[in-house]
Amino acid sequence: MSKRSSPNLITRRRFIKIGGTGAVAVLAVACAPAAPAAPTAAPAAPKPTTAPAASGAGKPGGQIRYAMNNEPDSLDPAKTAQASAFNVMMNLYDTLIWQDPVDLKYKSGLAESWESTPDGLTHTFKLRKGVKFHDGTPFNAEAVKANFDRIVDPATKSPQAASKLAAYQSTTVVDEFTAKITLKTQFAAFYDALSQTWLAIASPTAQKKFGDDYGRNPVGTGPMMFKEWVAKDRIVVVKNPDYNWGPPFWNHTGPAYLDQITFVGISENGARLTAFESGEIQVMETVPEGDFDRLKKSGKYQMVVARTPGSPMTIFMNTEKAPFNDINVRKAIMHGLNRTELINAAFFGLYSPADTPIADNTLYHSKKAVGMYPYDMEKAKKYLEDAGWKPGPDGVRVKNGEKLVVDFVDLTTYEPKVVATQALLKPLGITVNVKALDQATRVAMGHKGEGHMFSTALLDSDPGAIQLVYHSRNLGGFDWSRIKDAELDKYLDDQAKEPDTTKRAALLEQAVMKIMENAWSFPIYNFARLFGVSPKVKNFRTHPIGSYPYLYEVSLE
Amino acid sequence: MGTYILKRLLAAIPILIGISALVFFSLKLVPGDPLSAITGDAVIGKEEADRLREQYGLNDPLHIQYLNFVGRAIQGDLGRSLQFKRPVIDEIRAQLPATLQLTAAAMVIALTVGLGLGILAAIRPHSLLDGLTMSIAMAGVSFPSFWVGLMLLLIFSLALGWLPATGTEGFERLIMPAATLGFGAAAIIARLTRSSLLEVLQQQYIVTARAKGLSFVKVVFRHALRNALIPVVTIVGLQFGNLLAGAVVIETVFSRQGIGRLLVTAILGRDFPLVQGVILFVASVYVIVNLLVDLSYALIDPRIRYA
Repeated sequence: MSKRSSPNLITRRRFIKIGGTGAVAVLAVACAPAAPAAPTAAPAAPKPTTAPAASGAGKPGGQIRYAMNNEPDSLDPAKTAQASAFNVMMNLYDTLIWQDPVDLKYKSGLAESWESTPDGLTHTFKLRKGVKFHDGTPFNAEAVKANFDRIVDPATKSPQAASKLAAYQSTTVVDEFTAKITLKTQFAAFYDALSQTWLAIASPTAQKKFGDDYGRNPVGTGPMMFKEWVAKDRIVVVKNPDYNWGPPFWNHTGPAYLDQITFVGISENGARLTAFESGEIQVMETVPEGDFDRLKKSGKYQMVVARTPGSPMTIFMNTEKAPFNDINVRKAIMHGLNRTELINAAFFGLYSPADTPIADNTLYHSKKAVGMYPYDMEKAKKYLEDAGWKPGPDGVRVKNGEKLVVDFVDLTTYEPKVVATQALLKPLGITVNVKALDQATRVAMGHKGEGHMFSTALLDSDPGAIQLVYHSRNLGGFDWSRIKDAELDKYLDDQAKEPDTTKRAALLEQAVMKIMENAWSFPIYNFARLFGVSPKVKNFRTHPIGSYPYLYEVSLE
Repeated sequence: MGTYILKRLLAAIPILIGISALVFFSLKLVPGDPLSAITGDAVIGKEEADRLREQYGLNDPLHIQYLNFVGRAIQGDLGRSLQFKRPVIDEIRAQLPATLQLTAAAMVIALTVGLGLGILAAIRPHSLLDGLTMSIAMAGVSFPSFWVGLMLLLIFSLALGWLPATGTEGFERLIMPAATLGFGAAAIIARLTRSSLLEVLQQQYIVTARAKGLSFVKVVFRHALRNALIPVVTIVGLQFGNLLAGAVVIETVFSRQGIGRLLVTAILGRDFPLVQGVILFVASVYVIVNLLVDLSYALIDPRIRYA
């Protein structure tokens, strides 16, 4: 049994330098110094994008209003898959372990230490003593078992947590504070999964008491306690005065600084902006790019670009349909679509360009694929010529009497990106039809392959999640490029089970190279969440998964 | 009267069944996967998606799903929201007070402003006052409510900082949404009151009343207005329905609680049980309001009687 108190998934740590000044420095514009070339097969140390916690005690007290762009569906971690729910739940619950946002290692949470058998199938967790749920019941090994058993129970109908625990077999309560978890199959991302709030530990007593309505009456062990949820208006959480079991990387110990946080869901961008600018809310999520620029220039607010790990915002090209069934046409896009111009035109240059399927702030990012397809209009044109697409009379390329026309299906809020793509591909002789739709429709079209181009980013702290968009088992799901490649499937399957980090990194690199060599997708930019934060709010920084803020660390001036 | 009401209520049943079938099957024609209601913006695996579809009964044939829905609805159970994982009826109950409050406040504004402006314009036709009030009414009819709402937000929240931009709690959060919503209805009521009252004022009995020496004010309010109000009442009833519909936009613009915002979330999320429930509820309200309008004729005009 290999014993480790804190599993080391990265061999080397890189120190980061903070860019920017003042409070805004917390943000995600942290830039890493140019790194010496790493041996490509070794687990690459990613570029963390969250700054270390600022030292110095904050002033306790006060409250903030926090605006999201929609209301959560449920605050039961087992029953939701929504980002807005994660945001609130991070304050209400603790996980067994936490991922450090700076060195990306896993640190103690509700579990103080853990060990695993060399086959990676059995994991024993020593739990923290003296932790109480908000309803006063004790946290113990029984609670861990009850939560995980409930997640995998089909009656729970879990949309996200159950897939994170797909490999779960059972939990054995060894003693009150020792839980032994057995897996059915090897699962390399197990610790990562445990660090995500979807697998947070809730009070089994409260789950029994509220039954189906538990999601409206959440009870965790976290720094904030649930107070009320007025549907379509607000969710209020208040300070847990007993809290003293946060992860070691937080900026203080003991209870949170804030007395109260009120979460509101405001879907209308204009209303959310007005509420923020009039001082009604102190933190605003999902600032529209155009307004972000304006608010930043005003100098009145802390404007935060919080990078998310996982896959960059990527265009998926439907390989089952002409013209993208021809690799030459896909390569023409890879060379002919100018990322920087796209980011400038559609997003005011707010995001950084990305050119591989695993973002460079994510575990196992490999540099090998970086720069494979530099912007080169001539090369792009040559690929199109080779594919038989010749310039037509109106500038649009033609082959066998067919015009080179593709449909780009995307979300209405992403329309600027689609329109910029349309403009940037026009000189190549490609006509792009803009199909801007709502989420439910465009996802259904992607799943059915109705269209040529689709786009999404993938938010996950573990890069193995790219299988969701590249593995053939997800054809009819999010495999929007409609890739059916046995070799790629094997890399993705093997990496998911590989306990050795070096070997896992190599497998993921092979997968990435396979995707890039076949030009199956076009990574555009590193996805980030845009926050507007009042200057009164101190120590605002975000979590590595999906960039949710650690409101525990926040204090008011 | 009692038989009449009973008959009308019985007639509402096939209407509601028709509406529910129409909504149910037209929702199925709308593109988009109802699984979005459950998974939101998350990227999930196909196996998980298939498992969830099965678990939530989304794979059942359409007519089975509809019959299940009707069977439960008859027993007063509108099902559970896919998105919010709780009974549809609870969702409606939670949102109803805010919408009623907004609609009532908007109605008060619409009636006061609309009747006031309409009467003013009618007693001095073709005067400057008439021109002014009718211009305001014209603006009220033509400006879309979301635009008026955004303008009010810009002026009173952002520029002046007098009123909060979003939320539901408290009187100060009701002013702007109610004014926006009431404005359009006020305009229609004003125009109708004016034309209806003008017509009545030209009747012979008005001339008689004036000739008898009654004061102009007494003639307008006691004799003319009562007769002029019949078409206005019909419109006010219809406006009540329009206000409910308008709440969809207003509640979204001002991020207020309410049935309208609930419906928008439900439609965008393809939360079919919730859409069904809300529409069935709103349809029932329409039916009842129409009945009340018809009954109110008898109160205003004693010549009308229901058997």
